[in-house]
Amino acid sequence: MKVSYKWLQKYFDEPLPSVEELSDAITFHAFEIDGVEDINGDQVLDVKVLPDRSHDCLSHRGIAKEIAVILDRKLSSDPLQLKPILEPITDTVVISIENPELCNRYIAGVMKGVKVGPSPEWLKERLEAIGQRSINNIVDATNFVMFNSGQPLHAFDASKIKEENGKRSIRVRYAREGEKMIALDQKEYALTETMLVISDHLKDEAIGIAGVKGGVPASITQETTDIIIESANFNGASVRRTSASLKLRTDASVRYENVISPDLALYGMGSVVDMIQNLAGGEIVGFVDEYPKPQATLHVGASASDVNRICGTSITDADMEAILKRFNFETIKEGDRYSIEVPFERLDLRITEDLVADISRIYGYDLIPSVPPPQLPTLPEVNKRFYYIDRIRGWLTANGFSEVYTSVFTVAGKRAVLNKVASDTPYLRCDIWPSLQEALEMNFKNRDLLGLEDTRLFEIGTVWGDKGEQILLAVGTFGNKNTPMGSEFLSGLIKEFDLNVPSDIPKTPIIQIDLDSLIAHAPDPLSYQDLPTLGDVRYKPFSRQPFAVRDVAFWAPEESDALSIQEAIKKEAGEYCISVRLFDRFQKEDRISLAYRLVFQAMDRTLTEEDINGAMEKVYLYLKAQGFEIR
Amino acid sequence: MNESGQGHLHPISSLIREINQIFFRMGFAFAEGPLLESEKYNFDLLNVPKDHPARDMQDTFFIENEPGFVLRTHTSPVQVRYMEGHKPPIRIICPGKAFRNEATDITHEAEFFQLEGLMVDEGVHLGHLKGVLEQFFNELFKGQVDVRFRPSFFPFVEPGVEVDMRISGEHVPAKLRDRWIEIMGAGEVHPDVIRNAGLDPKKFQGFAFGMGIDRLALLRYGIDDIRHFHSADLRFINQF
Repeated sequence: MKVSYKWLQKYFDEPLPSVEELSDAITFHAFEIDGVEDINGDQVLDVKVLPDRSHDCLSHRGIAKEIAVILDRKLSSDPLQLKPILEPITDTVVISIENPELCNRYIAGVMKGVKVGPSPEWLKERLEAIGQRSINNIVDATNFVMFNSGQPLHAFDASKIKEENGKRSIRVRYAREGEKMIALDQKEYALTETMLVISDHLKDEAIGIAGVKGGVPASITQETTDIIIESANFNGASVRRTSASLKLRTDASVRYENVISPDLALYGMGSVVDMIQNLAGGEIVGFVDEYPKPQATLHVGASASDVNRICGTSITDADMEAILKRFNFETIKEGDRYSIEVPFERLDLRITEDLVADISRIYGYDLIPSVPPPQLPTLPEVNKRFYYIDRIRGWLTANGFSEVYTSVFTVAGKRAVLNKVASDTPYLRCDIWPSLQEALEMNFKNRDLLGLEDTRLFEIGTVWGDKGEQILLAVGTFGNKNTPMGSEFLSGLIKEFDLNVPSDIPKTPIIQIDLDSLIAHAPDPLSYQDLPTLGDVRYKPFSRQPFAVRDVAFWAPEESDALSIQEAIKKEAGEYCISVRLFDRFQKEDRISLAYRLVFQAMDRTLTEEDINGAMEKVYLYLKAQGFEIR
Repeated sequence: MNESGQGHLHPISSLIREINQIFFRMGFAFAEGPLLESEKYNFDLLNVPKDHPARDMQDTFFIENEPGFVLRTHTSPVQVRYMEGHKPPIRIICPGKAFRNEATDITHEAEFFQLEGLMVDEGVHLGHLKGVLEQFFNELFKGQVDVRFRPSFFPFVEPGVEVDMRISGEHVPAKLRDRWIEIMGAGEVHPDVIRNAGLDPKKFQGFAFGMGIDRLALLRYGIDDIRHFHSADLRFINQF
């Protein structure tokens, strides 16, 4: 949520610390700050309000309150302190709620004789700092109060709502199938039976999508003089579903989605009516408050020993009391337990652990000591499956196999996932071998680059086949006539670990087998083997450009050192030669024949024939200079 | 087959091997659970309410014609599964795959690896969490690692914390050295979760944490793109 530093300052008599200091204080005691932006001489903090505090902290008051607690300061004024009295009661508007479970409360405030006009500069500045456009004094007042206290508000033009016998009627109800409404964004929305609307009951016309957006039929214009202000409480899940299916997310819907206290509606109404009177004049006709089931007052308790038990801290009663006082909680001490009256807006405070979280974050998580876990009398259980997986990995890599992971998502299978992003592979795989085959072929193309004669791969992964979820081991090879079959290695590892041999292992290049049946009769391990792990290996980005291969063969005196010749060739071949490998060597009389394979590749482009031929020329020149006879 | 005759272990496997070695020495067992998980274990028993946004289709993979099942969105269901079958003292890690329905880029994958940790007994507190994590990071990054907590929220813990770490030491790559890095979410297991698993929250308590193994691997080996892990490309794997 965007929070204006200047706006926050209005909550404190003393100047706030610098925005940097303030950001740190909030970060370590309440919420992460995603960034700070300079906007027209104000500084705007992007506060990442946590989900459990989105009931009370999607507001400047909420953040100011946190700051007051963290910095141990008093709020100079608190819009949630003094309970407004909504008087007089009016019968000029009748409120009815068709589904009270989706609308806990609906307050209508009726005013007449207001003068719609531009907002004063200070108000425009506040709203613009947090990315809101100023509309007019009435709409701006409702927005200001929402961003200040967290209560969404809406103003209707009363004259556009049908009157009969001196009464207007507002009904909160489900939309009808096929019902449509043009909202204030001038778009027409097709409503469905699961969406809650505010309707002009006498006209039976939707004038707002409950908790989401107001409608054009009763919108405020320059000519408006009489208004009905809505301060209500709608069910979070219902607003979320409506806003999601209409793809219409608003500052109001976000607040309702996160669930706010129905008590807040009263304070919102009190503030907005005061503000409208100040900005636009007019007089109050009266209020209607439909609130069938008022929110109960709750108490939550915790002792210093609860905090210490959960956090490992050593706070005292005095620390506890000081922190509770900073929160300004109504507190009673019962034995060593502090019982607090939960402020109505703090819908997150329900159990001891919630209060412990509040106390400890204010106390400071940096004061939590680091405690090593106590030694246990026995060693932990050894996971048999992981033990064998790990050893199989060790054996296969020692036998020239590299391990791959391929995606569990594929183009065909027995189970499909719904709604997958990039949906060309919506199925869960039943086998590993097809993707292993693909990987073998793909890597075989790079064999010269990789310095391999053939490719040997394995994967241990989950599949979902006839037997449900299952882990398979797949082993495969791909190469030339000398390349052994993957199945030979499966037989090898069965022998190595004395595993249960499935009746017959077919001789195939790729083979996959159910891992659990493979190890079912293997002995239970008593401890893990500490197999080697990677040391300080650092990854180097590799080129994705095509590579080129050149061979060179020549006669050299028998005493020649093949390795130093290899190094010399690499040096002569220049920067694009990424590898030189001796691939053939034989002796005839007093000479040896050496054959090297050179691989060329650039990081950033495809090499040209000229690049490669030029490099090879240098290699030939060098070899000739050594007196070697090129073959 | 190359001249040396040695193949290469996938870096994630190597990391999991190392993680298991470190935690085994601290008394943690290696636990597992299904990837195709019921909503009950993936959400309900972890205190995630029915109408929680995380349960929306855009974040979670649901399975066609199998209502009530999802590809697990985190490794946390293993917490409850393990507690149901074991008595405290409980110390487990669960390194394994998890899934999120999101577009992939250099730091996001629809399938990724997570490391879950859980320690439950009488009197296990956030100080133990700090102690265990410091030891783990010290051994994994082979340097002096500091750990700090910031307030956070996850439905299955209270208090919830975000964990940052800072590695110092001369051999540490400059990109990592002396910088605070956000590394995981953690907290004290919510009493409802302890109760859901059949234990008495008045008697038993403890911590849980969850971190991305992919991200650990990126940091540990200086890898630039999370998508390498499922590429099956030996130009990547054979570097390790």
